[in-house]
Amino acid sequence: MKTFAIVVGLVVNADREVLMLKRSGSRRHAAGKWEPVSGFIREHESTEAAVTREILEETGLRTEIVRAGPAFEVHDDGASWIIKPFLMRQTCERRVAVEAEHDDYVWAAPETILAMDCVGGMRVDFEAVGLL
Amino acid sequence: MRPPRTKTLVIVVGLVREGDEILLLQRSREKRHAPQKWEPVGGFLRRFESAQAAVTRCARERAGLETTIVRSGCAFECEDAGAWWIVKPFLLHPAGPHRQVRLGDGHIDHVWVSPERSLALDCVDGLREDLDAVGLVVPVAA
Repeated sequence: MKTFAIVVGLVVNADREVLMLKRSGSRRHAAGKWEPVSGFIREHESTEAAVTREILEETGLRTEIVRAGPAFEVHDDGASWIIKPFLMRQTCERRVAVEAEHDDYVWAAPETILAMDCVGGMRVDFEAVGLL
Repeated sequence: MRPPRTKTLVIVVGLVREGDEILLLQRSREKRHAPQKWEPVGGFLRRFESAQAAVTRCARERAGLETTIVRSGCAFECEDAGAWWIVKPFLLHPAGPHRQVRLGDGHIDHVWVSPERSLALDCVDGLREDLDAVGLVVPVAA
């Protein structure tokens, strides 16, 4: 089994809603499912730099770290994932602009998100950063 | 007061074991961090690279060894030298001719040593945690 390391960025607004992105229908894996901003870390890159970069690339938002959650490992879909989760907030007013990998976005409360068709592990992500 | 955490880096660590002994490499004098200290094989992951591919690549690059993975340990976080580290540890076995270590840049010596003896060397921080994580537990002296 392969193990990959990724960062997850839970961007929260003033209403305690979390930004979720809808994976595009053309994605080979989990097409159409909702997910937080996430991505692979570059070689030698810190997780802190990776998460702010991924959010900027995937949404156009400039953000800062509110809190880091402890890293944890999960098994999903035949692979193992080391996840470093962060609670994030915007540093300037801007609308989300999704790019090619995502079709749509939504701001929603954690409880609402758990009832949506999401990728696995959302509850663990929320708990790790203290949103639940 | 502990300074705010600003930098967390993800690495793999490989305990290469043959018989009862593990491989440690001695960092060169020129290293800014922990010069001349002993450490297991390890390094950064390339983007999109699995931890498994990274650790066997590091064993090849740092020690000239082809290895197979015996088992992996759970990833853990630790602090060292002003940064935080997420460590994914593995127990490795040499697949090719044993003990034909060929050091890469960055290391000046190597040794095969039991886990107990390894902790008596001047090692980088976290070696005990690495050993524990892959099941090479060394009892703490009473």
